[in-house]
Amino acid sequence: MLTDNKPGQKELLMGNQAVVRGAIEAGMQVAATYPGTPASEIGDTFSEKAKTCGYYFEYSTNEKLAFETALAGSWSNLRSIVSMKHVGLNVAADALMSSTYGGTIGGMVLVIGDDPSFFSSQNEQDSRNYAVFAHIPCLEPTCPQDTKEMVKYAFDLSEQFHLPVMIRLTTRTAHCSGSVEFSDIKDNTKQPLFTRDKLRKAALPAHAYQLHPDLMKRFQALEDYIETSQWIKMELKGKKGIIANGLTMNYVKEVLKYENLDDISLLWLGFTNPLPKKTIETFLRHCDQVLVAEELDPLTEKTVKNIAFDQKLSVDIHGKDLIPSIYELNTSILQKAISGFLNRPSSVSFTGTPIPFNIIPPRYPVLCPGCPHRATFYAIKRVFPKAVYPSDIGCYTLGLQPPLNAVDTCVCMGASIGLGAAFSKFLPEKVVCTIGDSTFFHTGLPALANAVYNQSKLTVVLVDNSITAMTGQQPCPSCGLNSLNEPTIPILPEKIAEAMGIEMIRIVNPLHVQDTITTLKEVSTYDKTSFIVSRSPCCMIEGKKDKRVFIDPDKCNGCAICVKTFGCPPLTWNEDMKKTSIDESLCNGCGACIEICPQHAIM
Amino acid sequence: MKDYNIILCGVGGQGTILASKIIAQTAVRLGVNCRVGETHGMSQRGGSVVSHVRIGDNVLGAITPENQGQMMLAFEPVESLRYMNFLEPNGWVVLNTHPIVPTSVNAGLAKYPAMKTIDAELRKATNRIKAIPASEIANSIGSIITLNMVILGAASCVPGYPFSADETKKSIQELVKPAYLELNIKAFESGVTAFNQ
Ligand code: SF4
Ligand code: SF4
Repeated sequence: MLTDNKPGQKELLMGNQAVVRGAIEAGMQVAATYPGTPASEIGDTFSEKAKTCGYYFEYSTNEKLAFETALAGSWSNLRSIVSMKHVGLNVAADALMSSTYGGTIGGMVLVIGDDPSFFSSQNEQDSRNYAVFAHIPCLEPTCPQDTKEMVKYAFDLSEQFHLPVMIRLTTRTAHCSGSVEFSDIKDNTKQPLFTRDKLRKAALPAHAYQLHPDLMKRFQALEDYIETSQWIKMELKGKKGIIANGLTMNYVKEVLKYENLDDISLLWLGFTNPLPKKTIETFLRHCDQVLVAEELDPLTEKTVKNIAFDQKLSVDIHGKDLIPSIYELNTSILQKAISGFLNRPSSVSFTGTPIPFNIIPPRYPVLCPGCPHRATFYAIKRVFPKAVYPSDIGCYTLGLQPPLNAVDTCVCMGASIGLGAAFSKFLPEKVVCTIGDSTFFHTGLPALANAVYNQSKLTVVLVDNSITAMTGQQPCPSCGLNSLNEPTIPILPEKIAEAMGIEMIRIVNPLHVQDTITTLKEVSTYDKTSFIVSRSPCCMIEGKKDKRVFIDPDKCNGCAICVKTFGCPPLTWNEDMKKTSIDESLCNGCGACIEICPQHAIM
Repeated sequence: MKDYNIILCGVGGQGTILASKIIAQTAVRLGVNCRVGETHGMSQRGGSVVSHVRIGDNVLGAITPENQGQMMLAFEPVESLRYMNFLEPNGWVVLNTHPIVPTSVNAGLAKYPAMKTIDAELRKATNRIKAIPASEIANSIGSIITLNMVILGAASCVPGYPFSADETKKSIQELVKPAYLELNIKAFESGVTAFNQ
């Protein structure tokens, strides 16, 4: 078990679970997050173990609030941890950038899940840039064992330098599982203590002005300190050397093994901010040719080149000329780069049998069978066929796919209402936006206030399934369960809309398709901000319904309206019979499609 | 131990993640180095998914380099083609013959290839293909949820597979809820039988 206090025990853990184990071993007392792939399982695991271990845990309503919760923990002299996906850090950045001046007290760790190659994200920003920007340390593990150890180390480091410490994971470290050996668990029953210190805790201009030199001093001390850190490993061999950060070294070492190259000097950087300048200088003095291997932005490469320039070293430095700066890296990309760098052909082939893409049908993710969002989008399309459809981040972004085609924009959390309100003022078309309940509480609230205040004509459709569905069904403020899944009072979005002064508020059950259409028609002529709550639970929480839904082949006339406009996955078109049938093993029994068939063949 | 790389592919929700975990759990219990690389998040909603389980002393990265996979467990026929580049020449494939038709095909935007075509394409990579009606077997046992166990059972019979059926069953015991254990073991054994038929 993840929480066993059995030093030496080995368990299979995912990187995200290793984060939790590391924090528990370090005696952490406060944890907060907003779920986001690839970091979601960190919060899930914290939530699951909170009662057993006795620390405070919360799903905050957004990442900035999660950061502030951890900062309050740190300022109460408790070890605190906050996790989020990379784009969440954009939301939390405001708090991060100013927290460093006064500095942290109880160790504070910030775990970020970057997503090179866009497995589940709208951008592939390299969060190391934030570490540089904010002057905080950044560590990057290679495997789950490292991850656990780095988290523990990060708490100590944070307490030593009074800075939040970033652990940067990527999809490949967060979702990589491997064996992790446990160490003992530290006590986590320290009493909280708040010390009044206005200079350090109240960032008035005059205070921050005084503290900036202090921040720089701490950062400089850190630069010296990390030169001898266990997270920097140098192996000096031949005159050709490779510098790699975090898990990129895995790929480098695999290539060297496959290719039987054992004369290459290596410098592994588990610390990627600050960089160990003296160690890098030693490495550069030893080598006459160096390859800097890093995923995404050339941050290390720039520093390495600066050092060579400052020290007037005539070493030949390569990096992004041989390694792409977009998408994730892998062993075969590194193989090409290394053979280019060494100017020798590779001896092992990493080219497999070509994939016959021309005969493979695309298989995009789709809304689940019975998902209420599908029915909401269907109704919106019937009533507003020509509207502009801003949408947001969640399962419902999948409404973009054919046959629904009811999502036009998706930028960042809350942008559906932000963009939608503005579009409604500029464009002649009706603007109908969709936003989920968790996203609404995340950043939709200020956007709705803005829409009302600035007199938009937007129709907001809140697709309320009472859960944060996409990231694995975490609770959110509208669902009536708290962060530990205990009952609490739900916050109703319609009450908020009312308090903001919206007059046209309607609540529908999207699975009652015709009723929903009737209500939307009523709203279609209204020209102020309107607010529709389309409420039905995510079918991942509800499970399959008892009802058996099937199609009477005698009544089905083959119009294909159900598959071409609604497209629930169990609705299967039979090309030979020219009729639709329902794959009962997939069907959820929600019955929404019954109201869609003009022939009343579905029952 | 010599490296052994396994590619598990299928459709989100078919249980590839638990299957990879069971294989890796066996490695960890036996003290063998291993790494699992998975897809979570959006693709879990019925999209195409792939996991890698890499076993052996030299393994560091979570993803198998192309052309280096010893075995593929394909939970869905057409998905075997999407990841066939990972297979080593003549690597083993355990193939579930039950198709899941993507919505792109239902909406008339693409075609699902005939089983004959899938087989012929896959044979460009390997002739060691064991096709079994794993979904039908799982359904006959009582639930499609046991599909992953049927496939693991068949996998444990592949020549060169690093762990015995008993060791794998031990991991199933460790990871599956007690209430479902009997059903899952039954499914695993049906997979063994199906492979040997
Ligand atoms: S998880 Fe829930 S919200 Fe997401 S697609 Fe499935 S039913 Fe819809
Ligand atoms: S009843 Fe119709 S809409 Fe509901 S899950 Fe089944 S096929 Fe889909």
